[in-house]
Amino acid sequence: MFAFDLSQVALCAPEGITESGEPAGLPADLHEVIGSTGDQFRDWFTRLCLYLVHTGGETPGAGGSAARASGTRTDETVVIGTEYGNTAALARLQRDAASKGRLLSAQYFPNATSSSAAAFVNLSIGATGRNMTLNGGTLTPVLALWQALSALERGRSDVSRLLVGDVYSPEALRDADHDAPGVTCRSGVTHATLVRGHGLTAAFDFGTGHDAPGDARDDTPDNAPGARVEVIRDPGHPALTGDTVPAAAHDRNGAFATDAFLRLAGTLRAGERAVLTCRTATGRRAGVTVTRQKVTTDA
Amino acid sequence: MRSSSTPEQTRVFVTGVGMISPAGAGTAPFWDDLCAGRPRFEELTPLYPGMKSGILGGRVPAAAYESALSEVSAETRERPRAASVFAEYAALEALRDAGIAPGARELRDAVVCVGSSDGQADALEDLVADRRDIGESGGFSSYSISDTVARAVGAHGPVFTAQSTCASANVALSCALEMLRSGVADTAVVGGCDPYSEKNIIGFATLQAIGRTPCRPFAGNRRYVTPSEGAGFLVLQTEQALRPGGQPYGEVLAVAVSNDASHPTAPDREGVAACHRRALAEAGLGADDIDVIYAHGTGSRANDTIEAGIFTEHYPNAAVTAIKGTVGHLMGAAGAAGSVAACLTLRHGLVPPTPVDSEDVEPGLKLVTGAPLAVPGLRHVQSNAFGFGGNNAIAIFRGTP
Repeated sequence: MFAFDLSQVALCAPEGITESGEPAGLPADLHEVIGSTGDQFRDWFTRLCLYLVHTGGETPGAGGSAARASGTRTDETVVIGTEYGNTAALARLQRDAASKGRLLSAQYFPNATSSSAAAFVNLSIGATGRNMTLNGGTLTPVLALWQALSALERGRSDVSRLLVGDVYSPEALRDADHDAPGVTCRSGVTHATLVRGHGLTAAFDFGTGHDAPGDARDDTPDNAPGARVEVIRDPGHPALTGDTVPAAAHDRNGAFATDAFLRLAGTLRAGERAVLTCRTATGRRAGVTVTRQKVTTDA
Repeated sequence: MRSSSTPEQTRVFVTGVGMISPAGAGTAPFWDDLCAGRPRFEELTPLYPGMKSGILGGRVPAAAYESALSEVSAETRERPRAASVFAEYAALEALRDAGIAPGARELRDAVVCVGSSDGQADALEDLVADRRDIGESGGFSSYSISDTVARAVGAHGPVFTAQSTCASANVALSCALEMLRSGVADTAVVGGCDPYSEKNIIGFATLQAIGRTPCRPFAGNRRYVTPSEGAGFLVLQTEQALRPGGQPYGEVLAVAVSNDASHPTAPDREGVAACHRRALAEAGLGADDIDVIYAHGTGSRANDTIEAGIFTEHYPNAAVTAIKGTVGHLMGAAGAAGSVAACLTLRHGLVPPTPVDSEDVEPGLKLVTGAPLAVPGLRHVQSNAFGFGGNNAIAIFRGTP
């Protein structure tokens, strides 16, 4: 059981894809916020992560944007949960090496590792705490949240930044479709700022003792791969509120479930609970229940 | 699910280790090559027009690969991806070493966490180059590595892959340690793996970080990193899960994780030093308590200068060694190779040498060269892993009586 407070939640999701294959409908100030230095080597996953952490508001101990711009460092933890992360940059490096040969810029490589987004997020906000990029398949939102909250609980950091999501490259879409055919893959990334506090508690359940991974696949609605968000307004009388969190349903990208779940958690009244349950196509399950405590701080 | 309120003092031990590397399949050839200081580097094939020829790398020998392939799951044999072959093999060896059969009761809730930088590199690179489709390879999501390991060992607890460039395996170790100490499970199968990656070789070539001379950690004439491949795994068990009469390799006291937040590729002295301080603080130790350090020791000028400076200033009595001179840089698995070697050092009381001439070593550094060094009364061994993006992760192990 972890205790924490939720500072902010934000989702950044393209509305579609342009004819040239670029995400469309992104915030108008995106390039202004993330800057142009080295941008030609970034992929869209890194860009969205950078945009979100720079528009996520101040965090306790950060010293303000002016201090951050001057190079002030914090002990913030950064946990990125993603299935495909910087795949687009990895594929681009390989293709461009074949076409450009020895003229390939050395600036590709730092942007084309599996954790490049995390590296540039830490660099841009001066975060020196724990830093990790995690892939738990469709269970990623729960596993990433566990690590982000554990860092607070153990006093490793006062602030944990959680980024969950994917921006799907053509290769990632093929891989996702191979894993779970027909499941919707919308691009988007959610950023939440979690801080030490006592307003909320989180209890995790990794499904041990219930599932047998690799057993016959069960695609009934309750067991389909993906995520489900519920709210329990009156403890003891569970009530699904699918209408309240439609964004979470039937989407492989954990960004949408994470956004819906944490926004819901932020609205809970004392004693109410929000539940996020994620499942893989192979039968694994992970869940987290967040409960609003009686003594609260503003979210 | 077990309660997550287990006290922070939960002690966690290493009860099994497994390894596959350019030395061959298994911990025995790995330890033999380390103690002999015997590298097995080979020339890599140029990957793009104009790429230099003769660049050295370490590859898992074909015979070792075939041996590993014969022991992994039927699913992986049917559609082999190098990372899965390496990881499954090393995880199964670690389990055998721990005396645990796949699917055993101890594994029912077990955590499986694999650190990898390049993941299923061959599957992605084959897809990009139109050499092999997803259906043939089985896919490239890095989660598939952990998932196949979990299936192979019969673990039903949390399963995930941690990606933090060349610190990945130590980050995975840290994630698993936190979960065991929080009471999520009593057993974890944790490690690191990375296959040969074209993308990686191309990237290092553009940085002119790899070349025709082998990795010479901490030598004055060092110049290049020697990229390599393989996997290392550990079985971790809480004190209450230990089998009566079992002899753990050692106790995991701490695995500190931090970030320099300084530069995309170059390490930062203060950031690396801060991670050392965090590791000691989390372990409740002082620098004088560390007897042996498995350095990250890539053979690059920047990394080795920073580490040597920290070791000579703060750890003047610790014996230092760098195994990348022997097995190369296993990338995301580098920390796992260091951890496996650290456990073998605790078991045998020996520190393998770094294969460089003692006269070439940076002044003041207590680098082990020549023959393995016997360390009577060995208490604590530290294993460093750092990576691009400012990633730092340091593990500290304590010997058991």
